Amino acid sequence: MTPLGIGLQYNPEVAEWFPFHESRIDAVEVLLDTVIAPLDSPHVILPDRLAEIDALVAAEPTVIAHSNYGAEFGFEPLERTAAVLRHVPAAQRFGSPWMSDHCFYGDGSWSDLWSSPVQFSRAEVNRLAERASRLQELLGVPLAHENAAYYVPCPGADLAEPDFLAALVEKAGTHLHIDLHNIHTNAVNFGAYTLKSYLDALPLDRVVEVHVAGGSWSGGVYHDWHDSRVPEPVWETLEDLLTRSRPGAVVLEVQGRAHSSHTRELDPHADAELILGDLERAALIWDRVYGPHSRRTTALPAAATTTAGPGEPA
Amino acid sequence: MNPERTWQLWRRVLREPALAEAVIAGDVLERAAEFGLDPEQTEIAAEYAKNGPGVKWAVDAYRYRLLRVTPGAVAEGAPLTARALRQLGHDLDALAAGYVEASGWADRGPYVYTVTAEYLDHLERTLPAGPGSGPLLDLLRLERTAARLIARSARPGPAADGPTADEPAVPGWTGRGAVVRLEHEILGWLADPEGTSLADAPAAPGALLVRLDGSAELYTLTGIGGPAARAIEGLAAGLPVERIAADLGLDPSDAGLRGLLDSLTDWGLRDVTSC
Repeated sequence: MTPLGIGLQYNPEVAEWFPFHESRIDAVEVLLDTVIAPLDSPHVILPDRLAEIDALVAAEPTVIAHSNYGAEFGFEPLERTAAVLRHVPAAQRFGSPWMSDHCFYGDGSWSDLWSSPVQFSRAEVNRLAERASRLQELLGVPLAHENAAYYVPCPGADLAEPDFLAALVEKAGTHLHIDLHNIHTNAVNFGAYTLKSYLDALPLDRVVEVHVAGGSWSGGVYHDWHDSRVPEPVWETLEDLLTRSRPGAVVLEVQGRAHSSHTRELDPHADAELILGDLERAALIWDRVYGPHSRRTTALPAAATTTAGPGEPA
Repeated sequence: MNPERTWQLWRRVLREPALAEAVIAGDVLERAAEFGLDPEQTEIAAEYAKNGPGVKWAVDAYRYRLLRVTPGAVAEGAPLTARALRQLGHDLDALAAGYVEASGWADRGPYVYTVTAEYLDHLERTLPAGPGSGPLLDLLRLERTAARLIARSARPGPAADGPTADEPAVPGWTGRGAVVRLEHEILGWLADPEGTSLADAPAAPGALLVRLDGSAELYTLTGIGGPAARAIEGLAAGLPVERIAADLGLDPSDAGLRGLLDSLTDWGLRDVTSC
């Protein structure tokens, strides 16, 4: 897997106004759920979004396929899930280097997903690993599981969350998509782990993507709403994580009212500044760890790298 | 705790206001019989009740999302009806909220055409009579028919809580088209929805053939006369051509009838291989 660098999520609340095509972004992460056609329609991609998505794919940044609602971890037959019926063909159409989804239960519904983390149990490791392994085989590129932010844990856990994730990817042969802000959110709200202890329990060589985002307090709870700057604990942990792993991309998520009425509407001017500032900071950290020419947009031309001699900077 | 039973109970908490209130209030153990919970379900509910504020947030968030996505789904599945409703002064968000509540907070998620058909069923039952309501019902039936055709043709099987059985196949009929009877002349509005008012559509019986055409728009509308409508309805009900011809007072070899049959075959509505 070729490391890409820093990316931005292409979701409806940002896509309308952020200048994706004019910005030097190493990767664009498309939220599949917003572009796939309904499961009871004959199309894979919404026909009225096809030209826009194809233009995105045809442009320079690598397109990464990401989703919330694949439902591969639900209880329906895997073959009937959005993951198989829509996300796999969409990811293949985009030429996505990997695909990721959250560790949620799900089925033919959408609105309950965010409150439905999987049960962190040994029994579920076995059941979910079998499904994940089959999905990755259909996909043909790495499948990564994103750790979720949640506000009500699923009863019946007999494993700590990071131990569950580690066992899942070990058994399934799949990969990790680490959302640092989700870990931070759960750590703040439940205190069952810290960012460091969580990462220490994971096989970090399995990390293919990292999410960073911000959140807000509401009703005495810290929420993963993607509506503010990335907080310091996440930035501090990002550098540590990059040092200990080799992900393909670090992707920034920014959203407004997708998650709750208690968040704010995004402001194209102010939030463009927020996005550019956080992207720049992420790039600085990436470059500090991997070098100034380690991203897709900063890589030296192939000729320059091949003419460098042993021990010389390339 | 069995993971699937845990998940199923959680879905009930999200959808059943009384059960949610009991879990949030922490008295679900005492009220388990009221909700038909067996001992395992009661244990699961009691576990959730340990985090009452979190459960309340989750239920509120579920409703927020459902109320937010439903108008969008309906606008995608029935764009003409959505436009007409706006034109006639209806509040689409309020209508969608009424439907969501009446449907027991069920969420069809990615099954947009299924939820559209159910929503239009609900509107047909509940929309009050008023200016334009007659033509609006014609339009509603038209898009409901299209939504059902699309969902039926594309769906590999029922959703978790969707329709439970496919309709039986009709020999010789692919199910990719259907006749919609109209009571008003809405073709003018369909041709120019911005330039005309649906409320002005005059009463006039008519019929349209809705047929899936494999295009990005998914289906095509064709205005048809009364005999053609009866013939197509007969074919969709599995009647033989000879019977349909007799009902119409025609010879089975009638050129007009044969032309209609050929067109239906070309459009993929008749399956002549199974006749």
